[in-house]
Amino acid sequence: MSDASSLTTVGLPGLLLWAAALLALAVGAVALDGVLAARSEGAPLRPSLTRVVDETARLLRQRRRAPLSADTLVWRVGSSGLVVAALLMVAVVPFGDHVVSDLDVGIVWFNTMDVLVWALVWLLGWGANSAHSLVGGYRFLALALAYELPLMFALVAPAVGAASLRLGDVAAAQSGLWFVVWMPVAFAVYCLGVVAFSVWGPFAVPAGHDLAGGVLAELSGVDRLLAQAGRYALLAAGALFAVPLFLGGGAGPALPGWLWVPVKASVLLALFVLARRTLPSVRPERLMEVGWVVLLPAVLVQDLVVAVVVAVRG
Amino acid sequence: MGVRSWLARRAVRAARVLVVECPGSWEVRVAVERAVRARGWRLALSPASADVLVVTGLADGEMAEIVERHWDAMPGPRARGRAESAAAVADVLDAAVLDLVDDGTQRTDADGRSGSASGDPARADDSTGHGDMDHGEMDHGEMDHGEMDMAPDGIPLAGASEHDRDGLEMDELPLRLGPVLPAWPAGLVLDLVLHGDLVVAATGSFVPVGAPAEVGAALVGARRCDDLAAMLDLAGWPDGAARARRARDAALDGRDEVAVTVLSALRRRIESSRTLRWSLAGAGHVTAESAPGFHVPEWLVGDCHDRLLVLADRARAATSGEGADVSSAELVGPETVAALVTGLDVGEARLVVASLGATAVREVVDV
Repeated sequence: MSDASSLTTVGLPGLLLWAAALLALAVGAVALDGVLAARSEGAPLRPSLTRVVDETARLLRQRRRAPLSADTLVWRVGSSGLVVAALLMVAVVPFGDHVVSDLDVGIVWFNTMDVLVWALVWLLGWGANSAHSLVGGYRFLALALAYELPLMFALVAPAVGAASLRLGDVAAAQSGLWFVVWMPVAFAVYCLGVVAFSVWGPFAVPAGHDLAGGVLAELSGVDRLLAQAGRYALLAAGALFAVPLFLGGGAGPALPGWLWVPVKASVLLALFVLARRTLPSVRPERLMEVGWVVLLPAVLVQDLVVAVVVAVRG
Repeated sequence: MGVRSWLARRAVRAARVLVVECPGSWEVRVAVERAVRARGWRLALSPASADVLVVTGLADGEMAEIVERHWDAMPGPRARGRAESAAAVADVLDAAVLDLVDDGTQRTDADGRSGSASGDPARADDSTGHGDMDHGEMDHGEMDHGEMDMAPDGIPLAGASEHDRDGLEMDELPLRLGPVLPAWPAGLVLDLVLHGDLVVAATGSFVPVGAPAEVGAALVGARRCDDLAAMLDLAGWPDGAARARRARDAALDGRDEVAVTVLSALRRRIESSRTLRWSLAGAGHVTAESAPGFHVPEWLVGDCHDRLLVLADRARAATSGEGADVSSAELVGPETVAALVTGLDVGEARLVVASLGATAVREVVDV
């Protein structure tokens, strides 16, 4: 907690590099997911390796088609906004000693962006003027009600532990012991929140098979490309943000700090991708029960423990 | 030109196929699924995400109209084909590739289309009640607005509800499920009235077809594996669904012992998966009184998790040669299905339909 923020701010031009890191992680997640899917289905592996390129080509070539009377403005704000929210999340993540913007309220910033995702996914469901999309939107709000409060309190734990909302300080405060070690509940709830706001894996019901794709059902062409990229980008952004928050930031042997951040993030991201294959979907009303009756009290106790430890220590 | 054709060649490697299964063409639909997977392609969940439309079996009358509506909702570049037998599938997909990469064909296709977007096929159905009106006109936003104030662009606005559950006024939203939906019994149509995502009223029917579909005894094992795969797809467990499909394909290829091995392992995993049990427990709970006025077969009693286990047991029994035929006591008619889903949310309703198994959902003559 001593050497408060000695980060170099690279500003907006540096955002391109951060975007490249986010893109690389997201592409890796797509490839891993494709390979795992092909392996479990007994399909050929080779097409899944180049799927990112092929699918991008396919969607760039495809026409945009909107359903009758769709609210296209609102709908396209939803489909294109997810990538932006993900990029804004990682803008405050320090890679080693460098950061795009050294916000002194970085954790709150992240929280703001994840609440923005509520609006974006809902607009995506609403704008299409299609019953399946709309029901997908309802489902996302139901999930969000269940995961958001536990997620907020999970974000509180590292902030209390480091006595700062600035990500550089939070990372620096873990020089002795990573927060994930003594805040496991907060870390688990955080991961659950990330998977949920990315509409991924067990929490992909808003875009579920049973709704013919739900919030994604009517998207085509570049709109679909952006929405899908947004989901992967959010997942990757959540993994990147976990590094300064719980995984010791850039600290690690041999490799430079800026490299440790994406390395740690990709391990976490791979776990997120694996979760999709091993866990069945969670119906929103089931998550509500768990979110408020189990997770919320558990993460509050975690916050209390952290606060007591910090008070006793110093 | 170089970039354009490069893009087309890349794009076609990730093609997505929407399969329209006409009643009685189960075998062909499965052949399409297998061919799609072998090419590294994917199945589309909705027409908006599809590049290729493949109709299996014979689409006539109402089914032909439904196919046209889905074709209209595809964004393009697009290609379509019809496979009448499993042997024809490879040729149909090859022809689709040629159509998709041919920019000239695609441009002609695009020029021939009306400028306005076509509707969501599920929604377009609702505006015309039971599909006995002319869908073509309703879809393209060419209606005279003066005549239908309550239906801008031919889509009726959500109306005030007559079903009053708790004194709160709710809007009613009509939604037609089927006949083109992933993991859905071929030809089944459920017309739902929704409050939010809650089904307050439902009617069930089958799209009329010429010849009633009979299940050949040789295919029962494979079909039951497919029913299990559909249920696991809807439960959101893609790995489990993939295993069930592996068993299905093995049974189709005459390797029954492989199918039985895969199914036994899958059955154990389903039973021991706590997350699956937790997620499905209580979903779509059926009792003998769940469908007033209809006979509820005894095996339906329980929740979706119970019926998932029944599906798994039946698949294993059928592939291992015990109980290879579909008994009439098992069958569930479309009206019974509609009664069973009333009062559930859309997700649960889909789970309930899948938990019955497409093999068992049939026009029941004698109730």
